[in-house]
Amino acid sequence: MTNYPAYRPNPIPARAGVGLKPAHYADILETKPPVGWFEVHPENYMGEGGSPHKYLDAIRRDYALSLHGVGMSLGGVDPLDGDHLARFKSLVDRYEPGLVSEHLAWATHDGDFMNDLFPLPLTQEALEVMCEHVEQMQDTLNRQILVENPSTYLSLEDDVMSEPEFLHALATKTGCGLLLDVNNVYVSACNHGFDAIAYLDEIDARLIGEIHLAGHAVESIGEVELRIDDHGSQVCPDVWGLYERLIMRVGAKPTLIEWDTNVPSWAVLSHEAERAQIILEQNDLVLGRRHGDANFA
Amino acid sequence: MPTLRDFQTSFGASVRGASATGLGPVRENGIPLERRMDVYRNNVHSSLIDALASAYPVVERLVGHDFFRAMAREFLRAHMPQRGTLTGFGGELPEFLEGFGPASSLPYLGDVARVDRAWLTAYHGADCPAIDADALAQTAPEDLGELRIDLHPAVQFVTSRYPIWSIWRTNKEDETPGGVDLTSGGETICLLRPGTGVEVHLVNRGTAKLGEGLRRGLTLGAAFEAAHLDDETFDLGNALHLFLSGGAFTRVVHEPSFGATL
Repeated sequence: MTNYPAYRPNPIPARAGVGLKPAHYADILETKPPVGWFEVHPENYMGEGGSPHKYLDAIRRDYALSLHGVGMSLGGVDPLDGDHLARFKSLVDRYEPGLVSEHLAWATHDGDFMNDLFPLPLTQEALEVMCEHVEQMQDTLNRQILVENPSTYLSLEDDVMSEPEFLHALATKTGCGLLLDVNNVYVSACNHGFDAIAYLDEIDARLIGEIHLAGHAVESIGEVELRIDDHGSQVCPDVWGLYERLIMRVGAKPTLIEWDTNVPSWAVLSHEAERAQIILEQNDLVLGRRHGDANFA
Repeated sequence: MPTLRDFQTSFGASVRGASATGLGPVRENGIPLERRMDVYRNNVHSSLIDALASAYPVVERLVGHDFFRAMAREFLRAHMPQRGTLTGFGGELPEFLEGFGPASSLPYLGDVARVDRAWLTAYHGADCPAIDADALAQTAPEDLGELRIDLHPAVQFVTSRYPIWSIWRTNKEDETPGGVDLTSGGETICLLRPGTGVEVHLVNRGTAKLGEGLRRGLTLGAAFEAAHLDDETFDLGNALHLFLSGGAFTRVVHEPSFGATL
């Protein structure tokens, strides 16, 4: 394991940030809203030039930025795609993001990129593959990355450890941090019948570099509900409750609102971010404040 | 327990339509495995079809939403993305459409797709400062033929034996697309990106020949010869004016035919 130096210029603050969508470029540049930071999928900026880079350059001048990859396929049994890694690195060099993250998932197999986050068996073999690829990505970028827990719709009886155990082992072996997606924990907990609170309580607070919040859809299959992570609506009340409980335990952490389908107006999206920001400020352990305590006594 | 490679091979085949076997025992928890796999099947296909639709908006408008999605599903059988980004995905669609039976009544569809594709290539093309419009004015008229001119990476051309500009433009911009006389002859399109906005121009065939010649490294004189051979109505002054005002030239080098670099 390598210890990478902490990233200094424009770190991501422990405030609420928003996933940046092209539909909001103009609003953001005109009104310079008081959002803590923005996050983008680097895959959307892998064209060589033109409009996407012009807008991202302009927004980066005013805000801290996080790069959140969805196409690296860290859990794929095939070697990482060196060209993809090189494109990713050139974006890191150009935009100097405060955080870089990817997923506990795979998407590429036999050369085909299937553009989703597929589940891994939680086995020793999968852990070794993830460790090798996380180390390769960190070595190439010369910095720590965060690895996010995915929403899953399938779980295997062959699993030899829980997802928190797998993520802790990955962080211990590679020095990576964790991006904890509270909505994903809730979606997976409902789909597989485990306890979301117990999962979140198990995560080592020191490993959490970032938190994601998003909405999901509910599909009825016969008598049973399957929850589907579509990032297409407001964060649901249960997930807000889990988030608040988590922040009370671990303190303020950079928190992103993701809304990627049925993208709403900037006003609706920034309102979601304000809601997270209020919870963060009520639980700012660094400042020794806990304005919210009375509500939970 | 399958190896990770076997698990991923089985899972990938299942996502693409095979029944879900070879994954090892799954915890169904009240929801059958096939229904669980359907979530992944749907995520993969709907996200990739959406990506194709946003890359080929005029093709989608011409054939309609339902036809496009059915066609895209067929396309994906043989053309999954080969890179971990969807920027650039779907480059084989024009050729695919020309061999796609259900679209054979629209013989120009492949060229419409080429224009959509060229638009996206122009949109994402590398940034590079253009030379001033008066840059050529500093060259003595007798030396013009010996210039080599670099084209901006965003500049694209599409030449078709169909009235492709008329078809593409009315389906891109008009609320109710107008009719186009398919017997009116071929058209050529030049796409320029002077700032970050893509411009689509109807040009004569010689203008495209000139641009393609310059991009291949021909001198202005040789590129002009090729353009004029192909298109007798070709007017060099008009073509240079379009290129210069649209930021199409990034570098001009005066290179006499021999001696200069020795």
